[in-house]
Amino acid sequence: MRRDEPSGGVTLLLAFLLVVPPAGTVLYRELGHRLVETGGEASATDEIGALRQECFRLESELDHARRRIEKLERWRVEQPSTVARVVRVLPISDPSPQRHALWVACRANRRLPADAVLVSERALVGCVARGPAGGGRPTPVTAQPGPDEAFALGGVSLARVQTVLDSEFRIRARTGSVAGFVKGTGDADASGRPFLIFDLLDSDAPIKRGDRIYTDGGDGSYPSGLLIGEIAEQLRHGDDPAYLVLAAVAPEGLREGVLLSDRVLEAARAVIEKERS
Amino acid sequence: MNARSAVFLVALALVYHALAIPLYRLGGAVPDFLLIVVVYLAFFAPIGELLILAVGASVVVDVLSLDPIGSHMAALVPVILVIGRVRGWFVLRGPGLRSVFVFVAALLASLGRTTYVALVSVDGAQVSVEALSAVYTTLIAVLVHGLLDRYRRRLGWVRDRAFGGRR
Repeated sequence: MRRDEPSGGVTLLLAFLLVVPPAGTVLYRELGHRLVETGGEASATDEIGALRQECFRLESELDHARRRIEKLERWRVEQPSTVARVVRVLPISDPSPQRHALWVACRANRRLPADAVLVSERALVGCVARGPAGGGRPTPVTAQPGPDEAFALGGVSLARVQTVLDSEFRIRARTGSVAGFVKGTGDADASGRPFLIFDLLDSDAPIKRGDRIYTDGGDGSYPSGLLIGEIAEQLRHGDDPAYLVLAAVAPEGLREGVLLSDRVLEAARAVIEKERS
Repeated sequence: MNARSAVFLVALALVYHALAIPLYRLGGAVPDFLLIVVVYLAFFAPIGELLILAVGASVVVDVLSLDPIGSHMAALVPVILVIGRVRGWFVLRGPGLRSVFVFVAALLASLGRTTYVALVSVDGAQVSVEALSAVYTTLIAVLVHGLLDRYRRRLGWVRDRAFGGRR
């Protein structure tokens, strides 16, 4: 290698600079998570201790599975028209400024539905992005399984969710008797909860600070009554009022969520796919 | 710089960019680590090979992003072409001048991407956030490039030799 070709050393230095901080963060998170799961340190040479640790881990997994079942049961009772799936959020983020998407995955033989919403603790996180160029564009809801951003890969189903932190996020919303549109801004507060704008209202009924905004469900594809956030302040007065909304959930750092989709639409798509095959 | 190192650096920047962006998000603005690496490589690597590498990397980024396919290509290709044109006579005399140059490159990349997005989709972009992202990218690029320059000096490399043969 020529002397004036900065290759090995420079590469190593840049690798160190780029890898060490995030690797440390990930290790810290994973180690902390595992210590919580296993109940702390245990001696590897002590068999009894190891067995107790294993017991604790299995109990922890059982608790986790029970919580998932409870979650799904609750959704089945309260939203009988929807199919609920517990999905894991992958640590991959949208690399573009002002855009935000999460990748979610679950073990399934079929691909995840495209017209679905991701919720966490009963609050909206985002919608599965559709179309070849991603989210932000309204797509007609049909039973035809068209091109979408959800697919299956080796027994694992993946979907990309456009979150409320994305600047192009749009959904029909309602507070009390007032319906309108909620739009993303791409900005969030210090705790990571995104700011949204609630406007294009169909009524001039009074809205006050602290009022909660829920999904409207009028678009026919997403369930109604999911919490989006609460009114933080009024941005515009007059004929075209607009309100700043603070989202209920911070999409960054989520590890798990529930994906909700329409039961009838999903059944119709399954029939069509079966007929095609 | 040889091709294998360049590929390694770009792959590293891609992985880091996809995994660590939440740690850097500031008011909707994010630094572009791929651009930082590409600008650095553009001073030393052959432009033709770098173009191929950057196009491949930008497709990967576009697949991960909600922006339309091709938007990051529209950001990186003009930057590489401009650096390819000026690096023969553009003698960097200090970190200040380098930072100004990186800032211009970040703005150019941002302009290319937003123009492309505006042309092929209905989505828009806030200019203020794009400018903030460019400043953010510049600050981190200054840090990374400055450290690399210092390391290069310690090894006895003279910056101007990187342009040898072209000057």
